[in-house]
Amino acid sequence: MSRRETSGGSESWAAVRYWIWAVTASAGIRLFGGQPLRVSAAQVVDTAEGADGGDLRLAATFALPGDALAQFDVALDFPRRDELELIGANGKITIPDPWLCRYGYLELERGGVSERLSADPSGRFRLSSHFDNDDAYRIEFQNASLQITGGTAPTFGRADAIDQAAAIEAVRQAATTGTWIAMPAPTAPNTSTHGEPS
Amino acid sequence: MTGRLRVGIIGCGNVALNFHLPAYQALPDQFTVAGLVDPTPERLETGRSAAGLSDSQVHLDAAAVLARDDIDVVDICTPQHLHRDLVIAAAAAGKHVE
Repeated sequence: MSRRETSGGSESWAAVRYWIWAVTASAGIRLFGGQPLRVSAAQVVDTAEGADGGDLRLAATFALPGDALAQFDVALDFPRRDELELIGANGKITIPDPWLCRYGYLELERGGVSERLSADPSGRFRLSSHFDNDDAYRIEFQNASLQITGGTAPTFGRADAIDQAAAIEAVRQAATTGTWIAMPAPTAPNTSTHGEPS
Repeated sequence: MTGRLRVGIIGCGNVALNFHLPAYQALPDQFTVAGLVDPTPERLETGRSAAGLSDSQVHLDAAAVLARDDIDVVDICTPQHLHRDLVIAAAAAGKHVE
């Protein structure tokens, strides 16, 4: 895959203004479900002055290995909400504020019983109790520092970055064309927690 | 590369000054913020003060921090449409990119 294909170039990306959240959501889905097989998406273009054709809202569906489906939506004009829900035949895990983890817990519902679990039961990550904390950034920088100074391999390497770029490019194409986009075979070995070969 | 990493933050907006900078300051054994960039003088001064830097360590132009030998890592905190070109320029300058 060429850099042009993965980056899209500044002109095409300018049409997707709220893209960073789509990138984040896509990464979360891929972490748990693996590389998508097919992607569908729809967007509402912002017609406000100065929006330059950027999206106001975007929703996407990923068809994943193992007959799993994933959906995400992002919007510029909705009240802020961030939540990751993993649901299957036997239960559900809900993670509030999944990208910054400021609540410090997740909820597990199984057999009709719900329980709240700590996101850091061992205290390894030293999560702060106040909401406006910088824990997520501190942990990210700490990991980056180890990779730069200690030669530690990144948790997700270059191949995963290429697969992520391919998934995002498929979302962009699907939203632009209104059709399902078939994904190429993944570059990286399956690192998802889903457990299915991808 | 060993020792404490010297960081240049490009962009002094809310996330840079209220989240990234404190996160680096919480890891003093691993990082020192050694440079800042912002095209708006008022934002640059707010960042300079928060980071405890001298006037010579802060810049209005990203090219200045990329040219410095005492910067190991650049942390790009600009609006999204500027990320791509800055990432490529930072990599070309031999910097780690956060």
